[in-house]
Amino acid sequence: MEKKLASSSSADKADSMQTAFRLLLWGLAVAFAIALVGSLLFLSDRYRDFPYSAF
Amino acid sequence: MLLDLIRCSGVATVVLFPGAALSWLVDRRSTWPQALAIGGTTAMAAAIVSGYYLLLFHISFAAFVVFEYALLAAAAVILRRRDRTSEFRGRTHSLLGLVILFVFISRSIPLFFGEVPQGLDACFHALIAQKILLSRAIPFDWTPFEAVRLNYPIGTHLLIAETTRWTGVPVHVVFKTLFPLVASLTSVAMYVVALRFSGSQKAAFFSCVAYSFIALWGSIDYYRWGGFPNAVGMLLVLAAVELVFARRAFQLGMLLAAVIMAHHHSALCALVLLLGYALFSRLISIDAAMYRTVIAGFPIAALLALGPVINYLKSSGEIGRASVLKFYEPLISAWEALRQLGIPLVALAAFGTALILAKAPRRSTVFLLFWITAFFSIFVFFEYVYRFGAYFFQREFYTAFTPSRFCTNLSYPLSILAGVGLARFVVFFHGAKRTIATAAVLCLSLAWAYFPLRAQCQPVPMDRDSFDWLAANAEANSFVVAESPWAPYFTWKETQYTPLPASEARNGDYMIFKRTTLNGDVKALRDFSERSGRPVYIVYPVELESRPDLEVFHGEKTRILKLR
Repeated sequence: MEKKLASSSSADKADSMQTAFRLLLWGLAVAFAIALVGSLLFLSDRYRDFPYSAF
Repeated sequence: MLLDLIRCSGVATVVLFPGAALSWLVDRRSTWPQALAIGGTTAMAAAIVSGYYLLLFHISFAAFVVFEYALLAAAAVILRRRDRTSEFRGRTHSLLGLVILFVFISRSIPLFFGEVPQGLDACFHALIAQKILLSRAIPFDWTPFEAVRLNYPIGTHLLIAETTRWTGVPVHVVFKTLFPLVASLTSVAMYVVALRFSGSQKAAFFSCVAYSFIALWGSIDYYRWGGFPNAVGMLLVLAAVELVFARRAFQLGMLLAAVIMAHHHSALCALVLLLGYALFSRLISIDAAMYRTVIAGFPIAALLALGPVINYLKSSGEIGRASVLKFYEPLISAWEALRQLGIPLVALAAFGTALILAKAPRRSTVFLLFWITAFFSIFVFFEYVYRFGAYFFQREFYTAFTPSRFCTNLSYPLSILAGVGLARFVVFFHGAKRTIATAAVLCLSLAWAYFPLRAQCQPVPMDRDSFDWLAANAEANSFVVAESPWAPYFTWKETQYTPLPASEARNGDYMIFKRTTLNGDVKALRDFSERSGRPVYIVYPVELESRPDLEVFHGEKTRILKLR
């Protein structure tokens, strides 16, 4: 019984790790996508002469 | 310069050595890299925290050093009979010693080219340290340069001031001579943290190589812009990560307190990384023990850093006049970030990530991935989402919290992963070929580091003679107009431009008036002089047309005009 419980807890932990990994990878992918869109937008004519302030 | 480097590194070693030796004595399983990285960094943290309170109560910093050595002597007597056990030793540690020596030498070479350190940030760090040195007290404002509160953490500056007091080496020279030591200590810490994550000495060694010679932002690049407090702050964060995994809450609290006292942005990074991961791991139910260590560490840090924290809270009302939430810098595109971090580093880190993804996830790899995702996501949010949001609503292109620094600090976890990739490449070979592959990796890394280091080997343009003349001859209430941002430091007079960090109230009306109207307009300067009754001196390049009627000094590169 104890062995069964330990193996089930270890399986749960492995599942949690996989969930964490998937969540983080999705987060990273979304951040990459935003960075790419932002960088391309910056290259577009509309934002080329953006109004910087001197200070 | 060589003598100054030896003296300053010597004083820093005297302060850090007891921490490393204590760590070696107390932890029987520790190796020299662990003792040096964790013990040495803890001693640095203790020096910052103690230094702040000793300065606050006007007690000599020597008291801290005496206490350190007394503690070490007591530990040596009590623990002298303990046997040592360590599972890690051998050739890797000898090679690591060689890499650390290379780091120290390579970071020292640019210091010999010119008197003052590179980067605009170096100017205001020198001002803060000089204020501490002159007043022997904690500075709370920027007088005599600007009548605004000082919000910037002074943890590293008090160490610079103390080194000057002990060695007699000027503040601006001490500032640059401490870079090699901090870089070397960070490289050792990188090895220790990477060893914790990978469990492989080879991978940890190559992570150290990747950080030391392949990473640009967050490593070789620090000296270019004068990011000494950032380098110290991230060294403390790196050691804090190791302590979280070693479950040492009090030591963690000490390091986090020092981060709060040394660098705002690194403290923010520590908060996002450690508290963020603790909450994330709690939510996903993967790491309850780490959650407890972090939750215990932060209140200890808050308690130890109570003095500065109260000061920061007092100045929080000034955030609107600072540049924290309205920071103007050109947009950093994704490929520019990639280039600045170092394309080889990111490529190797991507390979390392693919390798860890191919295996079953472990706590350490989840932490590493969280580290990268958190820093990169915050960089992306402030660099693109916040910036384009501000443009959409206010038609201005600004950002907040200096997002490039999050990208800078990304080089630490990327180096750990790059080490995993490099180690896999090297173990592909066997016997003598493996030795050749290791040597090739080292040589190529050094060749890559050569170019950014060479770019740092140039003097900062400045006419020291003119500044010395003004410091000695100009009236105490003089107003100086000079192009060099080093003018306030060397003349110790108010100038038309004081280099202030983004955390300060640098967008007040008077400061904008000085930077725009009084920036070289002779008529405006005459009016200012007449209205205020203050003499105005203009430091003027020799190539420009002379005004013999106004000239009071002629230096090698500049002349000084006085508006009477």
